[in-house]
Amino acid sequence: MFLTRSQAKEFDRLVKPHLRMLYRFACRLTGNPDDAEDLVQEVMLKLYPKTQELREVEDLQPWLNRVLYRCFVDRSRREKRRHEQAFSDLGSDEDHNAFLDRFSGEGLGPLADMENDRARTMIHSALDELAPDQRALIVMYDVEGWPQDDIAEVLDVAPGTIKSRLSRCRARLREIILAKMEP
Amino acid sequence: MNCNQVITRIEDYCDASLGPEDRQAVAQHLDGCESCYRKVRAERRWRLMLAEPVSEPDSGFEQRMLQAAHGGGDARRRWTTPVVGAAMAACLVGGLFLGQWLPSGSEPSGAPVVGPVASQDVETVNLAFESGKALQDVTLTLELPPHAELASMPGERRISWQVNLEKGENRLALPLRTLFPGEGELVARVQHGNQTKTFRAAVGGTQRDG
Repeated sequence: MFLTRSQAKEFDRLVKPHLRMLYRFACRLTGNPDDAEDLVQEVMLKLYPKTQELREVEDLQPWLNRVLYRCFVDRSRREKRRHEQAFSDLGSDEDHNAFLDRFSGEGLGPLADMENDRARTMIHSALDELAPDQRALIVMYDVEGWPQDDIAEVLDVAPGTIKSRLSRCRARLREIILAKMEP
Repeated sequence: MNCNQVITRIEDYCDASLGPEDRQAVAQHLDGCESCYRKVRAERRWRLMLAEPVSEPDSGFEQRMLQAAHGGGDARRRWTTPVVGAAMAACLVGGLFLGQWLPSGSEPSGAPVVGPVASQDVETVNLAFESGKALQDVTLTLELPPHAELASMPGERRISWQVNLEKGENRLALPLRTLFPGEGELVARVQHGNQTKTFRAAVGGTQRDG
């Protein structure tokens, strides 16, 4: 935890190039800029005493993503806002079909923007209701388009399990969106 | 390929993870099936909405984050919890103590620099002091009261570090998390060679504003 001035500069040199990327990831996970900045700050507080360890990491980007993800999960658990869902609740093809039929209306004419705004709000609200690990997976794969190996490293799971996990997360997300579409 | 077969492949089709033959078969089906084509568009639509760009942080973002890590800069929130106030006092004592205790030739210069920074329920207290000479193998031990923990070492009540102090400014960053309201005692022990010094500070009970 003791850092000399030169060590503090080393910390800055190591993490500064990754801060905006961390912010974007945090923003996707938390859903709002204030919480995102708080989360990145928490990561910085955690890593500052570990500058020596940072220096030895070969590829900092996924490593930092993993630290941020863990902070996000810890924070979510502390806040008890979300409860992790088991990965066993895989939706059926029928459910998927029903979702696509309901969600296919794209809005025409003067109502288009309003319908799109409503759909957008529903989707982000549904994402917020997912368990932290499910949410992170959707963000990393569907939103950020990260390679499966990088995602597996962040989640600390086998790369071969990513696609099946993703299907379950998407099914859960669709289920939540459908529920929100009910009148 | 019929509609049911296409529906089971829509996710993979939109992920571009189908094999060439399947992909072509789905594409051919979509050319002649408005219903399935609409489903594919719906699948893409929700993904696109999810992936809309997020706002970029302002230009001072990096500086704020680095200052927060250093603990002496522009805090996003000022500390308010009693534990940090007391821990800060403890660190001040520690700084003065270290400055006076370090061996000859290490005349302390300047007051310790302490900066609290808050992130949710985690707040960092920094101790900075000048050492007149480099010291090897200094052991610092902290004993935390039950209602506080170091964010980076949750659940640990007693933490020791073996550190080397460099000549000049050395910093100790304590990211403290208040677990629940309470009072207690923060005990710090500093050991170098045969010498050990202990100091204590009350933690909690005295609310301070930033």
